[in-house]
Amino acid sequence: MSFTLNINGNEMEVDAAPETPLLWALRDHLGLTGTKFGCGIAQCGACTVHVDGVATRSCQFPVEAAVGSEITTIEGLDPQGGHVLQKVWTEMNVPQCGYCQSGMVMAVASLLKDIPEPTDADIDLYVDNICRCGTYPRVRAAIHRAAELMKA
Amino acid sequence: MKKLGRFLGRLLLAAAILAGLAIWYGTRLPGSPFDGLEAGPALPVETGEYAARVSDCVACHSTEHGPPFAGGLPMGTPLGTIHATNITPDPDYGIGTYTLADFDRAVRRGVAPDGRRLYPAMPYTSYAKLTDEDVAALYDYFMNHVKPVAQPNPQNDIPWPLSIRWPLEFWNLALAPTGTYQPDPAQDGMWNRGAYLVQAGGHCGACHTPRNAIMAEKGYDETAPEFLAGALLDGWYAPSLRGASGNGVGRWTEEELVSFLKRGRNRHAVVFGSMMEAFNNSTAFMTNEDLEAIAHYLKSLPRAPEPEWQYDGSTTAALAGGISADSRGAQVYLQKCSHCHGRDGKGRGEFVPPLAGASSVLAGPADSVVNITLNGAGRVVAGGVPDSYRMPPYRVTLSDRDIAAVATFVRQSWGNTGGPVTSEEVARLRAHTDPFSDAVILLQMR
Amino acid sequence: MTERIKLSRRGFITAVVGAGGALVMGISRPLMAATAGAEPWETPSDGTAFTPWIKIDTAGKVTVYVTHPDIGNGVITQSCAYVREELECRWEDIRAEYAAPERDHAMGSAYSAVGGALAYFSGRSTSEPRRTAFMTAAAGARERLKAAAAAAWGVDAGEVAVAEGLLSHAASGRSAPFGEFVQAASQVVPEAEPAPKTREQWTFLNKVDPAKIQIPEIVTGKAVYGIDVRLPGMVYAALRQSPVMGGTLVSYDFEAIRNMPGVRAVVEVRPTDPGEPDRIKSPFPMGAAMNGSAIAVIADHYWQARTALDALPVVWDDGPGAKWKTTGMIEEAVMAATRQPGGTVELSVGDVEAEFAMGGTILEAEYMTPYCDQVQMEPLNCTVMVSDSAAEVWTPSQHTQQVFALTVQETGLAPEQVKVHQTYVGGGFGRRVFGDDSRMAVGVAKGYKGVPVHVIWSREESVRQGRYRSIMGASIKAKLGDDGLPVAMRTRISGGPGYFTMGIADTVLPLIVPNVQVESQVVSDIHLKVGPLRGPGYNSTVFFYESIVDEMARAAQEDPLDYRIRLYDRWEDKGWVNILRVLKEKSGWGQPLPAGHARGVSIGNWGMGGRAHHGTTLGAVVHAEVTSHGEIRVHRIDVAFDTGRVMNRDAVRVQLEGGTIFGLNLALNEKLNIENGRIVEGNYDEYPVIRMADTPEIHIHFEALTDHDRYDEIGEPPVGPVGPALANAVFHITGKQMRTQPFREHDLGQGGGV
Repeated sequence: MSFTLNINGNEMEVDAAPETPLLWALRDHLGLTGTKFGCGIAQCGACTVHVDGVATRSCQFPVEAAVGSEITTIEGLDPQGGHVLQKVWTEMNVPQCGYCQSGMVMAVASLLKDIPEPTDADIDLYVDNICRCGTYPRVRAAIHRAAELMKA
Repeated sequence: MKKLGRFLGRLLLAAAILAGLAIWYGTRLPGSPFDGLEAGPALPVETGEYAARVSDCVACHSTEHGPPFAGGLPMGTPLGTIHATNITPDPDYGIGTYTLADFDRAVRRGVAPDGRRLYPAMPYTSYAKLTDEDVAALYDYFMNHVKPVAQPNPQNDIPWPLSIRWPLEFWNLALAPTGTYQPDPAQDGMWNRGAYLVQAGGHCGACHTPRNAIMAEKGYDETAPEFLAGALLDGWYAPSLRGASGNGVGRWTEEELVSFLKRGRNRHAVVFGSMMEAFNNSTAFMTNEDLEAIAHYLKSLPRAPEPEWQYDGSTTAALAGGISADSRGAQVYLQKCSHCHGRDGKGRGEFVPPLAGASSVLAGPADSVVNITLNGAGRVVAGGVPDSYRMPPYRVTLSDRDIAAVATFVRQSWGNTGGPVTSEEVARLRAHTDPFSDAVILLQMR
Repeated sequence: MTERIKLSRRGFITAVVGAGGALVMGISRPLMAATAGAEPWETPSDGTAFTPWIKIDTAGKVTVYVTHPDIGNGVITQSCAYVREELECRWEDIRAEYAAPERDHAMGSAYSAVGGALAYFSGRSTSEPRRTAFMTAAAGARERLKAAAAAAWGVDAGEVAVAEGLLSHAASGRSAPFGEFVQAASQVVPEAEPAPKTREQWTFLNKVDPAKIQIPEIVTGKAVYGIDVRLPGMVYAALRQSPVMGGTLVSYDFEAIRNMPGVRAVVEVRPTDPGEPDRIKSPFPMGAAMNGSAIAVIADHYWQARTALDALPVVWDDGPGAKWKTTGMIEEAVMAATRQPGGTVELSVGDVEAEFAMGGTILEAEYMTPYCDQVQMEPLNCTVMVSDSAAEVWTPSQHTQQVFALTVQETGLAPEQVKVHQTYVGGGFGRRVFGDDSRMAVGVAKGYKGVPVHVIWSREESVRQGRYRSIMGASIKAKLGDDGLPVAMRTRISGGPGYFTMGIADTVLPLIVPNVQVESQVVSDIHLKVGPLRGPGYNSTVFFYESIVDEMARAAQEDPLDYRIRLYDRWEDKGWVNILRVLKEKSGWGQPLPAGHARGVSIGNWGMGGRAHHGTTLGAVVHAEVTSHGEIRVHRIDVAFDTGRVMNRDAVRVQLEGGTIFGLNLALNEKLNIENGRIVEGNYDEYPVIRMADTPEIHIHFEALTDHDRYDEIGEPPVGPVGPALANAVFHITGKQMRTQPFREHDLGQGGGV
């Protein structure tokens, strides 16, 4: 079946079975490989994208249900890498292997939209992604730093 | 003293005679309309196979890795573990020596050819309503189209004296229907077909009808108000299937019921728990016509009026920020559940079921919510295609308290009106359940 | 030092004009590199025929050819930093590409002659020999540029200064960017290659802590990991191997899935014949990467392939491994082996049995660590194209040279017909060193020739077909002398085939006890395959030893940290005691904590191999709480370490933070269970991993560095001591010594009774 999706502000056609997870539509059908496959069961968050502004794990999101929503992937956050999180992540040497980080950044971007100055408890709650390298202390520090910069 | 002794002696004698009569009665062979008759000519495989699908024989009489119908599935009962038997036509270990009448007695009366009574885990109380044609078709299928397998039946571990079978006949006498389904002339053909499938082969009441103190279903047809009224069995709450109004399944249309039984899903729910097994092995293979008849019949069953569930969006707003630190349930929901079921509790189309207004969530007993959270779901296979969406088990990553908190949250959010769940309830279910496998388990019939 | 001499003697340094007039500083080997950069898969082959370590183009942009995969630890950045130190270019003008393994073979192990196997990631990927190679090449380029500028300007080369990519001559006021003299520089033939700077002369290394240079690619989603490889005509494959390792495929029914959307084929991979002769010399024994029995569905898209694979009826013969019905059976077999003498003697000093016979304070304890998987974030995957005359592999490997050899072996092609491209790697932790993942993909692609086949292990397949950290058990018996310190210790360890004994006989504790016996045994009929997992061996043995050391301190009625200072003071490398003293001062040791809280301490050394002043010594203090529900919470971990010296402090800190969390998770959460020979757990739902909310405060202390002349490994060291430090803390709260991992399985009752 063919579905028209709104991705990063563009209309894109996907020809796939309706239950195909959005993750694979993005990666395999549309070539947007920044959104990663980690677990396939919405446990790790490597596949996090925004659906209508809310951080969403795309591996458990049928492409059929994505029709009519605005989808933002890491490629669409700021293609030039100018988003405050992209800058802070680079400056603070946050990623290690980096595989989980596009999902991590997307989860954080959504959090900061809802809660511009998150507490540590907010971060614990909303940034529940898995990073096997253990970048959590840096991610936490970078979130606080980004919140500061966004406030200024 | 002498008198008393004589009296006791007589009493013992009388008791012995009564017991003898009882044993004779409890082991005698009931009659069958097929007594003395030979089986007819072989039927096409599809005929009996469909009857076997409707009756879901495979779910119990096959195991994942064993040959079809060679038995072996262990079933935990309050009395001990019993095993479904080998029903292949093997003459030594299976039913190869059964006449059609022997087969009929086993299926519709729960009596083996040697007079032994079957445990009512075999749903002969429902199969009693099967027509002679369907019984003959089943016999033909098992005798002529199933491969004989020389696999011995495992020993059941029910301790003596509970392992004595003849008293079961008295249970049968008191509680089990014995006649085939009689169509209701006041209803149309579709209704009657649906009633027949639900009551006889489908044996829906085995899970969905509540049972009395001695484990008998409280009714076997629509004349009983508690027929299919929802029941707790083996860690799952099978919701009420009754009614054209009310909450849960009562709100579903006939089309939605058909979709659920054919594709395993509709906009309200996805099959899980024991229903997933009934779906994967039985209802998914039934014709649309039969499923429509089932839906039509179910919708005709009256149901007591209930307050209608109304969606309440305030939960959704709270999850976007500003959850109070002491709302553990909301926190767990946000971290573990919202990624699939959504902050709005509405699920993802037909593939991830909503929790807002879900029948299993609104039900009185919370067992299904707790059980699926602990143990996840198995793989739903519709039209030969395994689903892409499966509830994972949380028994490792969430404590009893966390599961109780999130189950309570889910049962009381988005307008849901379920009661709270305690960690003791979770601990109890945790202790006697196992997680579902993520593997696709398809029981083969050929 | 020897490596450096070898380099210059061989006269490796050459300079040639590369494509577009670029100056390519090479150690004369041809090039075919996969890019790690923003333009994936465009091979810079047009005219460039040498393996370069550095390329400088006419715009002054510098490409560093990195010889080892970066699996998250900063290899790329460190390689670039070496070049930056000598070349004096601008940091932002540097980019990196991966060097290629097939030419290493073609040219007689050119790369791998420098510090060992090419493209093998381990803790030593940026150590001395490679540092020297990069710095020698960069210094040579710098001097050539200076010479070219000097010739053009008619001045003495010694008067030309270099800074931030600019050549200048102060007296004449002339200056020019590198790009201007790149072509001329390539013609310069110097009399001798310059020696790299000494440490005292460094201006960048040790002074500037650059963040990883690939981060901008990562945070924009442009970084190409193995799973992101997209090639023209590529098809996708979903893979299933025998659920019981060592089992074989009996049958499958393709007809059942033939008509499912996108499905193209089913490919069966047959097990490698164990007697198959090696066709090529490989860095690691090939036996670690023999293909088992497997089946793959090939489709237009991955989800189609995976769905069809799930629907495919497959019958397996489980083989002998199925006899292990439960995890408990394996555990009993391993522990039984530790209870009897007769193992391989790893170390024997004095007479332990005689000491025990004399009586005194004797402690006995048994410990166990379970099977664990690396669960790196990027599931195993590999893309392979095989034709009758060529094979090309794109792999997120920790060891592409091994992949190269395995591809030659598996395809039967000549080495000259095989190319291997290194991609970014989404975590390794040891899982990707054997190349079994790539070999399996080659096996699949052999069955579907002519197009690239992108093979993806599902997460469940990745976890259930691992190369695990083996189960290990230990029985330890120790006798304390009158001073409370051990006078005799007998350690018997056991595990599954292939388990690592590192850290059992070659660490400090057995070396400082006067009477020592260390024996090891293998339960040889366990079928599960094992491999390195971040700090192999060490991540179990530190738990064994540092748990019993705490039990010794208790028997001696002494503070466990002070006891360790006294105990490890026997060792000649004072790094150990330094670390303990720093921890005592910095961690708040001894300061009061709320009820239900306590601190525990532990120390170990990764890589010492029985020698003082080797490897990295690391100690940890864990401040933990056990709640009234018996749940363990870790509030703070202090880490002090001695790796000799550090090069990039921030990179070191990052690795230590990550390793600390890794070690914590290993001890707290991780365990694979076995049922009828199969691995039970498949995904993060049943194999929990620490998340943000579970992460404690982590304090890394640099004060214990001894400034000994070594830059030792940093990724593995925290993984050993964190677990036992936590176990020791929990003992102080609950009075229960957790002698098996993972700790989450222990019933701690009411905890600290808060």
